[in-house]
Amino acid sequence: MNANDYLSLYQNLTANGYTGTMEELMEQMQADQDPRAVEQNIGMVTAYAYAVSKGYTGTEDEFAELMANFGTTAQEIEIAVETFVNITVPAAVQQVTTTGEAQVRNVNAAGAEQLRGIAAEGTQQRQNVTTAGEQQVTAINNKGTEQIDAVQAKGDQVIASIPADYTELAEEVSDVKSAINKLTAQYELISEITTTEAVNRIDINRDSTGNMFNLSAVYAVLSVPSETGEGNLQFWINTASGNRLSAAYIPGVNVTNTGGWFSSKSMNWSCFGGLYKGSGSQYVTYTSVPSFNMAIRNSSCKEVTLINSVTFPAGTTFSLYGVKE
Amino acid sequence: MKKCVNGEIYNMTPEEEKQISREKIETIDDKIAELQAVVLENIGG
Repeated sequence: MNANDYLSLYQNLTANGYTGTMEELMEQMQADQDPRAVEQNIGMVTAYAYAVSKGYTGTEDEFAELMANFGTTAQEIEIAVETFVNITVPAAVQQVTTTGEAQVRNVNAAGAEQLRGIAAEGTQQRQNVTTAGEQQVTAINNKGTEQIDAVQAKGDQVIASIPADYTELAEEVSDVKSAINKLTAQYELISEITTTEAVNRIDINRDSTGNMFNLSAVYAVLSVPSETGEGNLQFWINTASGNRLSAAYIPGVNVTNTGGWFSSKSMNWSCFGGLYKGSGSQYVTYTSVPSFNMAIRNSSCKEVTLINSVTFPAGTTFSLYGVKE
Repeated sequence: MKKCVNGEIYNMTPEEEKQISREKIETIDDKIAELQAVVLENIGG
């Protein structure tokens, strides 16, 4: 080796961790004349430096000892591995298998026992729930029966209280309604008939639909088609209570005036004293009566009768208006 | 004599005819009274 070789080697070694001086390196190499020893030393130093560069923290001597024992250690490792694979592992596997089978049996036995316990507990709980449910149903039914009885009793009480109040109220409403009707005279056409033959009497006790009626006030309009002569006219109201309200005579009817007898609706007959309660007729000294308008008090009209001492000719029209109760 | 009930024509009962007759008599009486009054008024005049 020349000087450049030593320098190059030294630089290489220091770059890989060698800490000695150039002189120490040269002395060591000169002292060792065996080139193989040199190569071994260099190789040793190079391997140690490489190991240190990868994180080895031991000393160079420790590294050398480690390398010297490497073969023995590797052989021991190989034996250990073979022992582990061929003996330890099968034994462990056998042990695990045996233990596992025992554990499985234990688990199965414990599981079966737990299942029996759960089943028994479930049966008991179901019985408890059933019993509790039946008790609750019984309690609810009893409570429901009590509530139904209470509601029925309250309903009976309310219903029992209604008729008297309602009857009183209905009577008051009826009185008010009757009074209003009499005051406002909400007349409506009850029936209108036209005679097909000559008659002396006209009766109406059904409305235009054929039903009976009860009227709190009435008026009538009579129209004759031709002159009938001079006579007396009487107008009756038969009431629901069996009385006859006679409008008495209407004397001196001027039958020559056929254009509008009794056509006015504005005159209330009772205001002229022509309305009498009773069966007897009363003579009224009117010579011209424009209406049949009559108010009925404390009774109701179920029938009207018009009587004429002379004959109503065929084609006479008699219209009855009234205020319904 | 006949009567009209709800638009239908019927014969009057004897009692109903008597009622009409009374009406007629009273009408005649009224007319007589009126004539008497006229006569008396004329005589007196």
